[in-house]
Amino acid sequence: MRWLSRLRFRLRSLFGRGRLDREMDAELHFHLDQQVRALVAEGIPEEEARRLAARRFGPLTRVKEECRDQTRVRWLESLARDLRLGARNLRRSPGLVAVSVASLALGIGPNAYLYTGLDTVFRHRPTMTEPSRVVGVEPGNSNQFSYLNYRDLRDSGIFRDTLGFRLTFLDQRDGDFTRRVSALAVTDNFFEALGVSAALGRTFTSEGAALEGEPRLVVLGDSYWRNHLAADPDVVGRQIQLGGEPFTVVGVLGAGHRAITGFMGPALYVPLSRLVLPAADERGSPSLTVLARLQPGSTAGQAQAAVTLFAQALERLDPQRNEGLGEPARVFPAAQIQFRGTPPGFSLLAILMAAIFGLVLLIGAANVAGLLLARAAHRRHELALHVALGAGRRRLVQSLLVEAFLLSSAGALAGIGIALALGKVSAPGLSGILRAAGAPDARLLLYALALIALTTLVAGVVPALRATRGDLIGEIRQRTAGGTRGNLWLRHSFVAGQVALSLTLLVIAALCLRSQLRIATLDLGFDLDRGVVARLRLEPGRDTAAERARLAERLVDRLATVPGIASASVADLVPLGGDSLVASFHPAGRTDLPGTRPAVYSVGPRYFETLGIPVVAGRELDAGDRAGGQVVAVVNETFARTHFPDRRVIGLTVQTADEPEAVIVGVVRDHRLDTIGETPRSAIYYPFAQRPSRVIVHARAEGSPAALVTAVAAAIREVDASASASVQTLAGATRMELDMRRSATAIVGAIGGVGVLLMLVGLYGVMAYVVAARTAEVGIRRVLGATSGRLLLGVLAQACALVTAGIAAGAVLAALLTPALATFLAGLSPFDPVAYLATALLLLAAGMAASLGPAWRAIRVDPAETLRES
Amino acid sequence: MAKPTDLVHGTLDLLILKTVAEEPQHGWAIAQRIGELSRGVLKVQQGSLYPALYRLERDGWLSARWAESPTGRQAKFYTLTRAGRAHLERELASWERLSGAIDLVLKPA
Repeated sequence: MRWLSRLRFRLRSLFGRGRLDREMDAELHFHLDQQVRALVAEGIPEEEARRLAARRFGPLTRVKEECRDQTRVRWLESLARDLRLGARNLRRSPGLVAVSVASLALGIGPNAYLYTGLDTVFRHRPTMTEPSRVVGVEPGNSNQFSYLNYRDLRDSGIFRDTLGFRLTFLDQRDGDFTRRVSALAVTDNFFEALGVSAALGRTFTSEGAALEGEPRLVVLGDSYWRNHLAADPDVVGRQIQLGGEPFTVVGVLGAGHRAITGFMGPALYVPLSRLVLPAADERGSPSLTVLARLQPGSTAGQAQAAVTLFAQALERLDPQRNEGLGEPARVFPAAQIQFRGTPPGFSLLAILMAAIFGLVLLIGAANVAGLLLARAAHRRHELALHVALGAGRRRLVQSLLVEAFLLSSAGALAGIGIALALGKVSAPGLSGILRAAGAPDARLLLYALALIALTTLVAGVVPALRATRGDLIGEIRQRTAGGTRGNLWLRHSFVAGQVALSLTLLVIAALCLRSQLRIATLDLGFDLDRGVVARLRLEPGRDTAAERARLAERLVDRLATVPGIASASVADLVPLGGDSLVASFHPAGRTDLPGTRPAVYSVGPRYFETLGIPVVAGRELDAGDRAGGQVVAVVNETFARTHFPDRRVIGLTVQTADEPEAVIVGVVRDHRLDTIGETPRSAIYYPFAQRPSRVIVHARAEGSPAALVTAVAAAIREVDASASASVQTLAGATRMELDMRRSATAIVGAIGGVGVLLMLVGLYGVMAYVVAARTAEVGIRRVLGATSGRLLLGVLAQACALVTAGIAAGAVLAALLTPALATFLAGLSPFDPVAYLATALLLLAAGMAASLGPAWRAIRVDPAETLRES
Repeated sequence: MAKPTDLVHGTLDLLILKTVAEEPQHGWAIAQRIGELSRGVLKVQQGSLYPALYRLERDGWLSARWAESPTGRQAKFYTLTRAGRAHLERELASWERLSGAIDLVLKPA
């Protein structure tokens, strides 16, 4: 309990100083009075007694001083003093402060910003009651269930509630204007089972929203309601056009609702229907992500076993469609759902950015450390004085650390300011996610404090320890600059280290910038700038294969007559159109998929001409390839190379698992299909007339495509007013894919630029110091007859050696890290020699430039002066 | 009056603690008691007494309380804490050892 009374005492000393003083006074006066009394009792008259007593007591104030000394909370007071002195010292070196604060701010700001964003994304917990009882369920052969299998699972009673959903995109028509919105198609019990209620109106119920009833209802997300419906309070009961049909709004979710699919939730929720899930009747077609609420008392493990058994039974019943269903199922916590099927690129990108920002922070802190190191060494006189006055080493280190702390705090404050500013900057793609992450919160503050502590340690400890090492006073007497062997080694490795880190950062930035340029000039394989694209959806009653083919033909004919259109065609894809995003919600766990199987598409006559894809052998598909005629196909170069190397492919037949045998009539050049950075894939193109599929009409404009969008929309309406069309330029349709790449590389490039700046500044400071350390040596050499030229060369040579060492180390580090970047580089090699060489040269030049100034100053020093010093 | 012997820091602490161990006292009484018990040899100056008292209180060996003195005035009384008592025992033991050793050296063989 001693510590308790000690603590109490200390607290009282801190906060009750006034009272303590008064008590002390009273106590001492009491003593004095008692003394007087005693003397009076001995017979001395009062006056005399008082005088005697006072004399014996000694100066009251001195005693009080001594007492106060005992009660002081020393460390706190010395800390306060250090803070004050530190601030005053720093004020005398505004240059140092400015550079350090800038370095740290640039390092801390982006990190804090990124942290908030990533934190929000990864800590996203979907809204539901009793989340610990809700699990995701995946069958053995996929990560989704077909609707029929889901229904059987639901009815099996293994779970208390079984629900399913599917993310899709719907065209919403708003007058003349069509926009694509993300929609979550859900089973009728989705909201009830999760315990989610609407803020306005209601959610779906089993009566109104069952698939069998082909419901046309919609629940709006809060942001959609605010952004596109102006937060209309009377929205319930209104109708909006989705996918060509009117949907009735039954409710709006609250602003605090967190979507099951992750941070970027869907705009709307619709019940499952054949409209949004055409494959509803196909048992062998997995399409629903399934969640379930465990029965009371059962565990995930038990559920997993039960589901596996159940699936095995289903497989036995229909072995062809349910092949592999009976493999062990997977049951896992529901919150993980949002990350299944996420393009792996996203988390990789997040890690990459964290690493890059971390590097910048490190460089920033190293900068500050270097500057403080240099400064501390120059302050050895002052420090020696402190030692002479009795300061212990711990006190010196403490005061130096306090200075580092002040700098770190200032840097962090500035950094948070930058983070907040970044939050307001608008940028597409990834930054949009980060921007939406919202205002900083308490966690950010904690994070900032942690960063401050870290930077203080990194930037302050080493300089502080170094500066106070050794016999300060003795050294000062000799007036050396502390040039012992060990000392120099640290400084040199410091410079080299900074150069290495900077090189790594620069290489990464250079790679990203180069790939940026490449993307801009990349040969996508097709003409992005001339195309107009219209995605069509037919009325449900008329959506048959024959109808599609007929519509496609009529549309193409009509469009070909529109003035300004060079050619038109139909296809079931938009290259780089983001359709693959939906497709990627497909089986994620399987390894036998797309890499080896060719992509299969249906395209109409003149498709390749419309998109500007050259035909390298044979012919395009044309009007002669009709339904009922011989089945033909066109393949791309990769296909020809992979499956029929060194042979003439025209005239051979190709057979895939799902399609009839077809004769190859042409070979076309490869073009980008899903993502910019993809490796070339085999592709087979079948005639649309023989294999009707999704109807997407492409038109090639003679001039600017934007001008033709309305004309195309009008023409389509003319041909078939009932089909809903979403028309945009091809460039617009591919925007998201390009934007994501662009913004990511832009950010990284910017950071790289910042890193260069930081490095240059830091390098200058430290090089100045390293060179200055050799001043004495230079002076001596000069006296011994060396010319200015030779001296300069000598100093520069040393600097050059250091920088080169740093470059070499940095190159190795970069080579280890850059392969992780490969997916973002659009085909550029992570070891691209141009990037490495350019940055190496840049750093060398920077290092030389940084040393030039100090070197020049060093050799101009009067040799007599330097001799006196040594 | 004899010149007060120069008392070492820690020894003063020991004397104070031992005095207070008998009963809680205020500073003046402590000084008087020490003087009494030592038959006038040890005269503790207030310049050393009070800082020592504050130090002992800070270290948790003594606790202080304001109360009415026998003469009716308010005074600050010091009491030995439990930890203080243990500390006193330890210090006494080590003083015995030390002074015993010194005696052995100084006494004629």
